[in-house]
Amino acid sequence: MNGLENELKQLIIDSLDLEDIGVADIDSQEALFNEGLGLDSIDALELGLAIRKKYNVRIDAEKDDVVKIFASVATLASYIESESARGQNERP
Amino acid sequence: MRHWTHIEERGIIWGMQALLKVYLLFGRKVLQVFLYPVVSYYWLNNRKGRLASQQYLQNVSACLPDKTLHTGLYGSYLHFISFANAIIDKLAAWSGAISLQDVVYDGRAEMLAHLSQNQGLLLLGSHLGNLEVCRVIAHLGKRVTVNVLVHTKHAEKFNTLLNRYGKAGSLNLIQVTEMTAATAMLLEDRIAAGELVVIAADRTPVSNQKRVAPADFLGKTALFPQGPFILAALLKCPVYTLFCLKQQGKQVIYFDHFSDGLSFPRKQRDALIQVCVQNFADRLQHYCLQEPLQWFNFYDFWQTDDE
Repeated sequence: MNGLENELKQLIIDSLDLEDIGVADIDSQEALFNEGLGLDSIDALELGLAIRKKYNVRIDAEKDDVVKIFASVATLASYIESESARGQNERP
Repeated sequence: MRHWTHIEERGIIWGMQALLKVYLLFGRKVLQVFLYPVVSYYWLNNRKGRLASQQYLQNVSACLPDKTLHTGLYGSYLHFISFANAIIDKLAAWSGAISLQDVVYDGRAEMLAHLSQNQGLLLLGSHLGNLEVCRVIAHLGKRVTVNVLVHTKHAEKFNTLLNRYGKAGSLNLIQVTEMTAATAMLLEDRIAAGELVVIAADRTPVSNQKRVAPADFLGKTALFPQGPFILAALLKCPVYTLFCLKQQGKQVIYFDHFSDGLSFPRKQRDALIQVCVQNFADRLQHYCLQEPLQWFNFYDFWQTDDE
């Protein structure tokens, strides 16, 4: 779990050009948007696309609770884990 | 004056439905007879629209010293008539009554070149002229799927009409009040599939009124949305502007190259977006000056304070 969380933190830093922040500076439980890390809505979009590219995880606007998934690094990691587990079961 | 999203499009649906029925049954000439009472009613009942129209006409007229343009009450009436005619064209386009012969293209070859390589494009449109006529571009040579982003709150009424008279065909209306990661993914898929995504870039957002940027437009400062340009940067695809103007009885569709791909690195983000917004405003003004009465934003466009 921590491995994935750290990977996500690095992805956040890289895809959003957060030069002055390191993996250690991001708390997995901390809110990503508005308060906490203080990312904005553009960052959310950019991050969403970067995550999909890397993990091939689909998020459906109608079915999934996007706000909950993107709440923190921890929620993101658990969503990605559950999705990729499901993907492996479904696909031959 | 209120934000455009607060302005009720009063009575417009029943009026337009009646007009479309007349159009389909008797043709355009007969329709003109019915058009004036409907427009007069709408014009008399829409004080804010009248005022906004006159304000716009004064601004545009100041940029057109060689043309005489009515800028008072009569001017605003002509402006409303022009709007009604455009709605008829719009409905005609949806219902299939506008054929390919009525449409002239400018810059189509360049766009087709992208599409033939399966390269999706983002098209920045506006409420100048008749964006809905672009339904016909869905039938451009090879079939191209056109995805139009619309604000849910306003799309519902229009969809009602659409479903009644139109065939959706290869046109998708995607309702977006707020751009989410999921929407961005959906649009990224559309672009990857070599489709067109059309978004209006002249109306400030429904939900997030902070994402706006000021630009000089017709001699004064107006606010434009940042969203369409941000979306372009996310989608990393070529960007064109799209204007459909009625000129000499024909619908002329202008495709103009805007960017090979926008990018807004964090540190210069606001400044770079600002440049894009101004470029778009300049292009909008260019076409606005060609067909001043085809400007269909009937609210205070130059409202810059947070009322």
